[in-house]
Amino acid sequence: MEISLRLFLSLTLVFVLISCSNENHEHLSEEERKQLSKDIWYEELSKHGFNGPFQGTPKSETLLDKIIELDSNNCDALREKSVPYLKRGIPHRWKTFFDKAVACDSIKWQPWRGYLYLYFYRDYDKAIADFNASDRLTPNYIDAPQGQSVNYWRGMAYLGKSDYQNSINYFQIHIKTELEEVGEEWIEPSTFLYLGIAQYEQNDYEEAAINLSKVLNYNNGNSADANYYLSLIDLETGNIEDAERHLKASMANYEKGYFRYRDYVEEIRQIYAKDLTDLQKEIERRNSNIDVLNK
Amino acid sequence: MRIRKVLKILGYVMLGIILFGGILIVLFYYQYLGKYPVNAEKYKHNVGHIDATNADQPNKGFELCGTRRLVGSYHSAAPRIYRGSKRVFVSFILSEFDNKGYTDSGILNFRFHINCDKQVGNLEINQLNLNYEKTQLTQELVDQLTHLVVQSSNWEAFGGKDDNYYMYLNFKIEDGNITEIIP
Repeated sequence: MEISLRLFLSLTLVFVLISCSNENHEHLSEEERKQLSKDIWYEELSKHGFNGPFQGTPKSETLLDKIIELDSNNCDALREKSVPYLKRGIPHRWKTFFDKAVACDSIKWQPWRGYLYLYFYRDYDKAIADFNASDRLTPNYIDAPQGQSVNYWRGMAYLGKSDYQNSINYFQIHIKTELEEVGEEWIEPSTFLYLGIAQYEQNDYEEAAINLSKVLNYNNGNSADANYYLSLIDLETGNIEDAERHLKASMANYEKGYFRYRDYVEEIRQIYAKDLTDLQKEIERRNSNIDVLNK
Repeated sequence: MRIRKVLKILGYVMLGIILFGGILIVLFYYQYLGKYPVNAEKYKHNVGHIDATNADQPNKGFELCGTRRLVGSYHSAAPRIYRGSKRVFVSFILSEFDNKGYTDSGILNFRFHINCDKQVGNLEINQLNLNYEKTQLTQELVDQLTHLVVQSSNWEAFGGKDDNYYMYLNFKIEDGNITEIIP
């Protein structure tokens, strides 16, 4: 009897908790609704969050609708609505939701939209426009979506756009700022890689080689990308032996996975095995030409 | 007598533990799964689901394999789904595509399934302008790229023998030329 009573009370508690989740919130004041919207958002983040298998599921979408219904200015939830559309390649739906997030909190989300335009859509002009807007929105602060400054991302955007001088300028601004604040060893080595690539494209082989060598220095000699571009520079400057050496190192690095790539989209200027074999053929062709000349 | 009393107490303790554990399991289930009501009318499927009955191209006998499991439904099956590599795919598209004087600019978005036999089906096509809004691109351009995309020689079934794949492609078109292929 006593046990039955305990069981009954426990089950009642569970049912009360479940029924509370479905309560009507219409009687709440605007402030209370906003607070509840925020509470539900952070409660979810403290559990499995919106990433991973939960993202884009009917449960997740329904929960986000509820959060937004409670507070149509919950900017984080507006942005989260866009994410599965981004990852699953539905541009028009992504933009509809992300633009709402930017309208809701442009300081936070406009530089992020720039980053997404850059990588997921290779929309360089829109990306640069958003990075420039972030300068105006936060004049005393350099925004850093996805962990890098907007100057770094502008360097990438101009590199993608093949506007190499602007790319160099922004990478140099990024490096100068980082040197003032932390020091060269704390700068993400890819900065030197992409600066080196832009300089290579401008035929500034000397500076390009300096920066590409820094990539190797900070990566314990492991970078298929840096070795590949160093090999190209060697080839352009007639150092066939060094070109072979760098290409061999690049191939070994590539084989071990030491090359730049991304999970969801291709990296800007990503190199492939075919690039390396093409370069190998070109080096062999140059070598055979030299042999002919020597005979 | 004493043994019976000890056993009785032990029984109660065990029952208490089982009851407490049961409540914990129910609460855990409620916290992580049960408390999420679903607006089933609005959300019948996960974001990214392709309704085979609404495919923009006739399926011509296309069927998903085995358990109908879709590899890459979270963010596409790229890059492993490209046969050889994306570089090979891009080279194929650029060498075969012929800009027959098109002046379109926009994004041509394909979403589709690839089955275990590398056949493409359930194809959804979205024609967008450069502001990511729905538009109409030149039909011949769309047809050309559709014909190239559905070639099974583009794709590598890298999973289990009964696996299917979710894939999307965005072709950025400027003045009738392909300037970017994503992802």
